[in-house]
Amino acid sequence: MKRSPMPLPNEMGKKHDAALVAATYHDSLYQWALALSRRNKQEALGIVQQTYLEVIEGRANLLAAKDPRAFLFGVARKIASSRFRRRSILGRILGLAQPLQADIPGDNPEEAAATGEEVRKVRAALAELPARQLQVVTLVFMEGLTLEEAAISMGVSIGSARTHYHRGKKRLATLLKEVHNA
Amino acid sequence: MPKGELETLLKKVRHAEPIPGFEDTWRQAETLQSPKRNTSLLPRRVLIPVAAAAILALLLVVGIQVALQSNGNDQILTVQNGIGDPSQSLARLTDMEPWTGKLDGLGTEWTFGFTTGENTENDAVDTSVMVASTSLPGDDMYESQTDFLLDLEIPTSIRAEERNRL
Repeated sequence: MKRSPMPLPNEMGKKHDAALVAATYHDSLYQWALALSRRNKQEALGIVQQTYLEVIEGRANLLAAKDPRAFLFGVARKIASSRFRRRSILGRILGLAQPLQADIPGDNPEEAAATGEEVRKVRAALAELPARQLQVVTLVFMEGLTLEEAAISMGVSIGSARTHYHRGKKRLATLLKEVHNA
Repeated sequence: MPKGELETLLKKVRHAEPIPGFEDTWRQAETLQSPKRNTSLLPRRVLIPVAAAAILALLLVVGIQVALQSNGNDQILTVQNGIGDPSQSLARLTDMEPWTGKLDGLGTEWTFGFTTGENTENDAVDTSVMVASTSLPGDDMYESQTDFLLDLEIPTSIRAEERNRL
């Protein structure tokens, strides 16, 4: 029997349901992807798209997840690691290593005008944080996750997440103070 | 800086962040779907069994080859056993008269001969097995035996068998 190129109604229904769930957490997922990509917007968008692709192609069963947000965050984290690893390997082999640069409004005058000075400074400070600290600060302060939830999303122990959280908070405060005084 | 102030600042950053729309992102993700999946000549549910069958067939062919080869060795052994009782001692084998047998796979009838030699573990086996061709006119079986011995490498197998028997 020849297989129909169109998805079966059941598959379409599942995809539709998965899209509805994903849409609920889209903003949070993008913020998390920004943290994973060290606030590089293009990379963040790539991570989000690839996360959705995993859901669409059925490799990540979002509908079966108990906590869809944590599930999506976990998928995104693995994708980010994989992309980072691939970039590192290619960079090493081909000599094309290009570390991700954070997108901070300022170079673009229009965007800088649209964004408040204060916000710009905080973004610049965030970009200075080490990866883990940036991730836990994003999850806790921006997304309102508890430290336990943040630890699960980051794939680290609660103790480790707590350490990164305290260090991140302290470092961010120092950076903001420096920026403010300057 | 108090935690509350930091939180307020970061919330402000979050709300100021332009976020790409869900619809567009989802649609773009759909366009990233692998085309192989839909346009593949063989769907995965067919491809996997076919690949598995191909691997099994390959293993079977290799297995048959190995079996045939080992059968060939067995035939050598069988011919050798035809000389006498396999349980005979080496001394008895070396005393036997030359005999004729056919080895399958070689396409030629070969004559095997066993000389009477010293019955020592090292020398007797190496010197007692000889091969000569009856199809070469004028060849003396015992004169040409060394050349054939070297060319055919059959005695190597026989020697190995003999050693095992020892």
